[in-house]
Amino acid sequence: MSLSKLAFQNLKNIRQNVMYLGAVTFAILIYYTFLAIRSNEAMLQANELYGKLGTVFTGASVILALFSAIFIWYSSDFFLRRRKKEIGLYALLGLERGQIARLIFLETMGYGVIGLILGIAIGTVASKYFVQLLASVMAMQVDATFTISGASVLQTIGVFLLIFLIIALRSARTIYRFTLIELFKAEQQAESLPKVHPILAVLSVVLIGVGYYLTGQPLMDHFTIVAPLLMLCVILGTFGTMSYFTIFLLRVLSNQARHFKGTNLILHGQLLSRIKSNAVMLSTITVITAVTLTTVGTATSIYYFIDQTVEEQVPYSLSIASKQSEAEQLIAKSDQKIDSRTMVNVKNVDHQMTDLPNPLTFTRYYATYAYEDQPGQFSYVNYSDYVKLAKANGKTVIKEPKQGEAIVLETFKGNDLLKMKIKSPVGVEIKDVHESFRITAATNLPIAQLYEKQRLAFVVNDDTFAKMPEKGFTLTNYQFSDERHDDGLMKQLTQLYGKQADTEMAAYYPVYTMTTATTGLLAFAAGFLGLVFLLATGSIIYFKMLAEAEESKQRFAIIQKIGVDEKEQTGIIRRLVGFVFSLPYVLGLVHSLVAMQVLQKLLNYNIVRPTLLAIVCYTIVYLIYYIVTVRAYRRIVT
Amino acid sequence: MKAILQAEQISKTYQTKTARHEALRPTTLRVHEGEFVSIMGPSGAGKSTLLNLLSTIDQPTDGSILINGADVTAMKEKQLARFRREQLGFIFQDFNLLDTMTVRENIALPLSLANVDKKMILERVDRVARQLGIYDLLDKRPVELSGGQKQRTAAARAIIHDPSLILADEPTGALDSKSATGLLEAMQSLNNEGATILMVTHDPMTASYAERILFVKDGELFKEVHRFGSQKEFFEQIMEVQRELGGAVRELV
Ligand SMILES: Nc1ncnc2c1ncn2[C@@H]1O[C@H](COP(=O)(O)OP(=O)(O)OP(=O)(O)O)[C@@H](O)[C@H]1O
Ligand SMILES: [Mg+2]
Repeated sequence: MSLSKLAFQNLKNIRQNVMYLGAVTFAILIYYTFLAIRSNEAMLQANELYGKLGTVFTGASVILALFSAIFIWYSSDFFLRRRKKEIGLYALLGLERGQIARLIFLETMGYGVIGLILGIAIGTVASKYFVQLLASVMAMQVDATFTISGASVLQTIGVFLLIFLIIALRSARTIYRFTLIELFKAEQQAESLPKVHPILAVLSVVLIGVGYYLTGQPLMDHFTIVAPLLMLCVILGTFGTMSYFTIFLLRVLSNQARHFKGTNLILHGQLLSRIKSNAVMLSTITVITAVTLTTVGTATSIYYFIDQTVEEQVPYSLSIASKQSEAEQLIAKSDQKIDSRTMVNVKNVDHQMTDLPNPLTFTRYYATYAYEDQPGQFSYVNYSDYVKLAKANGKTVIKEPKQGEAIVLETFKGNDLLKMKIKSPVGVEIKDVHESFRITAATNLPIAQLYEKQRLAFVVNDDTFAKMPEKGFTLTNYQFSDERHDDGLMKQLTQLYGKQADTEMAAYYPVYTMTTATTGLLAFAAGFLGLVFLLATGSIIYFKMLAEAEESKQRFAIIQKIGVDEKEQTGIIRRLVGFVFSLPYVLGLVHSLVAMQVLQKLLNYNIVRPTLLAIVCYTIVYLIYYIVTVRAYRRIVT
Repeated sequence: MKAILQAEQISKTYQTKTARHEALRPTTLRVHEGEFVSIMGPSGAGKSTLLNLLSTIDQPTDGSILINGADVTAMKEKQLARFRREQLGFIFQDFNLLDTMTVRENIALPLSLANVDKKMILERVDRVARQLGIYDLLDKRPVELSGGQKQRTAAARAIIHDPSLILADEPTGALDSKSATGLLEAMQSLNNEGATILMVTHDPMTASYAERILFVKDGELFKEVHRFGSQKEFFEQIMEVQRELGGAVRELV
């Protein structure tokens, strides 16, 4: 029989290798689906933004390809180990090692080709549903159909043939290096006992601690230095913890009285013998878990709060600074009704920005929103207008400031500098070019949503306002009956204002659609990657544990003979697998919780709920993997 | 004398898809407390089959086995496992030590499974290890040991929990003659201190350490030989029976 025939014969023996083929197909399926979503015609036509955001997808697809490579690497390793004995038999039957290596090479490529066909076929179906899901998170109307994208198919084939080529070469090389005796002793000798390095163990944990501590520091100021340093600390600490601290911990456990209780002896021995070769995998998975949870947590949080964010940035359906009657004519002709109209008189007054009193120094940031040639201005509104605004926004009305007093209005909720930087500016004196005010209260109320017109605003009583010599101008804020819908009004308004459309008007609708689409796409990409990472990390542990099970068959046969019953064996397996699953899960979770703590501060939302959702999903899938792995392990060793 | 092991009319038939094979015909045998019994016979005679039945690793097709008064043929898997680890000690041809544990931990395993106190475990391990001359090896791992040292470790594990019966399948099979002698002498001294031992072997030299030998042929007990006088005389006697056995085989052909 020729080699290729033998290889083909082995390929047909699919039942035995269904796990491997499944893994390969899965990786290809994900990759192709992702590419297919990205190049989906319907999506590209429906939203030009979608095309522009392609970079998000391109970046993600590179990560996916790398990930697939690692993933297939691990699963093929398991596949090879499992077949060591069979390969040994070929050698005994007189096949040369070179021939066997070629056989393995052909087989690996064969599985690659089958995986490609299956993956692309299933991917074509899957991508349709993913496109629909994506369209719905982006709030778009898209009719997704089954389409095969030629470019995506080619790219998938190219990338994966390369991956398989590398892996097939590596497998062939491994075979080539095995000696006959090694092939027959499919069970490897236990690795030598790992040395304990207590100092490195403690140092690793300390490194993580330092990383955590750094997140509590004012990040914004030295972000470019602190952030990489912090990441480095945490990543190094993680690798150290998995390599040294776990050994340290197990050795400490071995010195306890509990070591000699029941099956603990067997468990600790098994764990210790594997920990060295598992350390890199466990740390990698920890880091991936942390990144995934953080990314998914962040993306879901942002998406979850999208309405709130837009509402805060653009509280009115429309704000305009001029051409009021023309604009209202247009609105009247459209199918929108004006629910409310709030007009505010504003006077911009020059301020000496250089010697602002301490709690207000942050307001220099506000000046950056102004034109370069008009820095150092604050806005003033009178109390009557303030009352109208407060009522229109459903805020409690603060009582009127007296002569020489002012209420400060924080106008950008999203930035919320007021809350972050200072407790309260109340009691502080501010001075403009004419007079000075003592701040009696602070509240959050946008006077309009026109960035160009916005300054930090002060409310003074009507008399004081009237006496101010600056020329006033009127800002009009509208609330429409249905601001999330547009029948062309936005376009007409933009035409009306022409060149001044950016400075004289600001509407809710374009911001809303744009933000929803962007964050929806981001959330989708993050969710998709998160799901893939989750499945891949779970599968990597799964395969690694099964490879371990194959090598531990003999040990379980021994303890069975000595009189460890099935229930106790299952107990050992549960704890064994549980240890390997929970280490990266717990540490990764803690990492991401710390990271999200920072995020919470930056976003200034309570992100507990979306984060919890992400964590719960993650945990459930992980648990399922755990159960499946325990079962498969048990099936192999008993 | 009290019978530790009492097998009544046990038999084993292997049923494969194509054929039935009666590996062990109905056999009755008894081992008394403090005895050192050996089972001998040509390859394929059913020695391992018999030992596997007696050691509860396999179930007989028919018949009953009482060990220390308990009917092991009526027990469920869980009970059996418990029974094995409390009442029996095993020495296998291929040692069956766990390579992930130290010699001390390997020996301690049966006591650990019985949830004996750590201090007590360590004391017992030390004592047994001294007895078998492996005290200096306690912190090594099985890979670092020679075959003879491994088998003495296995022997230590087999006796650490004072089992009612020690079962050994070709314990010297993988050992050179010097290590084999060392192990057998150790087993003999264990026996002198009261341990009951049942050992399967096809090596007359090994068998001559026992005080009684059961010969198995074609799945049946063929002959029983008791030791009188010196070990050398016993050895000669064994050789004699083997010739007889071999002849019987030739007659059959
Ligand atoms: N699992 C099995 N299925 C079918 N037949 C079996 C099985 N195990 C053993 N046999 C058969 O039972 C008979 C006795 O086997 P056993 O292993 O007991 O021999 P033995 O006396 O230990 O031989 P040896 O000295 O070679 O180890 C043999 O003919 C063998 O082929
Ligand atoms: Mg045998």
